[in-house]
Amino acid sequence: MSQSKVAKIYAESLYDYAVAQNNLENVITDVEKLKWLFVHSAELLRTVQSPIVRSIDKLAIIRGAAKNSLTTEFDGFINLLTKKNRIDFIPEIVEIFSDVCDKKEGVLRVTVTSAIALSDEQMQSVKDMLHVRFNKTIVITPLIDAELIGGFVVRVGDNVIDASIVNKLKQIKKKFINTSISLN
Amino acid sequence: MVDIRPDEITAIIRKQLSGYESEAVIYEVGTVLQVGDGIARVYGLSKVMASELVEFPNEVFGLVLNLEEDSVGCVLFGDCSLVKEGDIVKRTGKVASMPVGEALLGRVINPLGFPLDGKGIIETKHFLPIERKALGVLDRSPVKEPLQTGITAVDAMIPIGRGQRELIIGDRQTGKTAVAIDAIINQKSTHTEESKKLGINPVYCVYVAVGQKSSTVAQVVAKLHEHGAMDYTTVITASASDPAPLQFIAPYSGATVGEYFRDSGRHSLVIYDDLTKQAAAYRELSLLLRRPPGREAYPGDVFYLHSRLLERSSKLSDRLGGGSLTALPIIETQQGDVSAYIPTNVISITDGQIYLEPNLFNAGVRPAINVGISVSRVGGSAQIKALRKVAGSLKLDLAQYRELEAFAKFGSDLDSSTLNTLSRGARLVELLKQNQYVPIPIEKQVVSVFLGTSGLMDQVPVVDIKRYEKEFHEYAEMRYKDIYSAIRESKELKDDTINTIKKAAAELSSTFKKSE
Repeated sequence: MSQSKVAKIYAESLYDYAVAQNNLENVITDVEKLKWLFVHSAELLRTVQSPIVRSIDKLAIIRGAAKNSLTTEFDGFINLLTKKNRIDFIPEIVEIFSDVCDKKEGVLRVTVTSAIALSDEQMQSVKDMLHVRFNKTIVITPLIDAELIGGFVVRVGDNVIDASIVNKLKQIKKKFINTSISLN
Repeated sequence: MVDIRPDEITAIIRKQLSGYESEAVIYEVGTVLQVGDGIARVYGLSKVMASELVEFPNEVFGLVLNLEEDSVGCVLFGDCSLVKEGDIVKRTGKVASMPVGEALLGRVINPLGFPLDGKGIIETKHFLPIERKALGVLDRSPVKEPLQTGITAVDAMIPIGRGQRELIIGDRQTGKTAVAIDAIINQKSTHTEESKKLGINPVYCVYVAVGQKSSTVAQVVAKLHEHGAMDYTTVITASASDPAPLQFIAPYSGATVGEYFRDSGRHSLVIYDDLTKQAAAYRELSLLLRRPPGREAYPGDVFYLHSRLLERSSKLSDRLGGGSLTALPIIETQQGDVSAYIPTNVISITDGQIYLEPNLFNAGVRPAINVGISVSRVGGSAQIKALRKVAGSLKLDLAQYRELEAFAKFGSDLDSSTLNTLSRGARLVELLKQNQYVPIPIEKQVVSVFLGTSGLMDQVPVVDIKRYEKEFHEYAEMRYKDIYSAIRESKELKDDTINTIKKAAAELSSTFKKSE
């Protein structure tokens, strides 16, 4: 979860470069490929982050792991990282690359949790509501949680919009506890 | 039993619900990364403030203490086993605050303001933050009114003024709490109609128990009830079994409760019992938050911990209503070592200290106050004239007595003036002995000290001193009642009062039966 500044700066540069070269889609595929590799091979991750292995060797290993099918843009990028002795950051860079893309393209990823699956129309109205609020392209990840009873909960980064029945019940409960009732 | 009809209940519920409007709630959240030892590390909560209250699941609350680059360090006020990794943490948007006001009097609460005495919710509209900034120079005025503890040794020689910070320091089992409790009980006299007529303003008390046994706190509360002192007292307790964060904030909560009275132009007395344990609790959570340890493993800001607390006690200027907050912090030393880290810190912050010694305690001198090294740096100006007049020679006589006492042990031949000093000293020491929970009114203190220092008791055997004192007060109350009222009203010891005392003493001495 730690996002070092170095990784962020390199990820942004990679994005800008890929856009300039008009090859963003392929670069994203490469990044995703590498991300998948790091997730599925702890060995590869350890090797890349190891201080004992030389940068040149790391480069060769990454190229080999990706079966030498990387785009020229991305290949050039990891070559630069090697030269600048920043290849250790590659796992972090690929991790945050999608966030950087979202930010640059004005995409907001939100999760919408509901008790039952929402219909397309309902989804669209939630999307429209969020679009008006944040003025960004909204990408929704739907989740189902029966414990909500009804309504929905939208999570946008650190902010939560809670319109669930369970939360309303909690509020009513709190209200009852906090008021004293006199019988007369 | 009131008969309750079901339709009434329905009506009540409907009434309660009528104010409820259903709306979507927006709040900020974070995720628990790591939890344990009463500490939680939270990812997210990007806009959280330092010392803000955050809510964990299962109604556990936490206080934000560390703001780091991409995580937040919180201390938990509840059971940390109820919080798991990955739990959602909500911001409350409030810095830790607590209810204050008259509704708190007579209550036993925890440092967050939740009642512990089973007397129901605290109904008050006033909330104040637990951590508040101390007042500046222009808002204060010098200490000028006395805060009487009812203990002769303290009121005569180590006088405390309203707005002062007087440290009570001593080993375990030397009667530190007893001094403080007596001071609370003595404030009862300030709540009477008579005091009102004399222009003495009532003092509201707060007793903060930090890291003590719950049984001890229960005893204190029972004693306060017994003496009718709970009517104007709030007890805040974070017992030894409560989590360290609660023990850490307890004194600040106490100061907040006291400040409410101070800021509304009234007077309050807050007792922090004791700050040694608070420092230990703060050390615990600082180390868990990975702050670097310093001397005795306390963090670097342990001085600030106590200085910012004690700076909050003050005497307000007349412009702000002239209220006051007096603090009696208690520090427990180990084997009489006042040069340990925490004792030296607190000694340097406070305006004087009352030093209690186990030797004196064991020798039967109770309260076991060592008047030689106890001082009050600002209270002198607050002492009433009558007591100041008689206390001057008391201090001197006792100082000479202590100096000669060591010699006298060798039993060599002593000249008559030395013998006089010794016998006077022994009588004064005896006179200053006092039982627990019996605060002495100031006018009686003046008369007693006068009897001792003027030599009116020199012929009374040392063992009879307390009895003589008691009989004198009884006799004078009966025959010369105006001695006391004169001192109480004029706050001075005039010549005619002195003559009456001498006359009464002469009369009593002629009939006083010395014990064999």
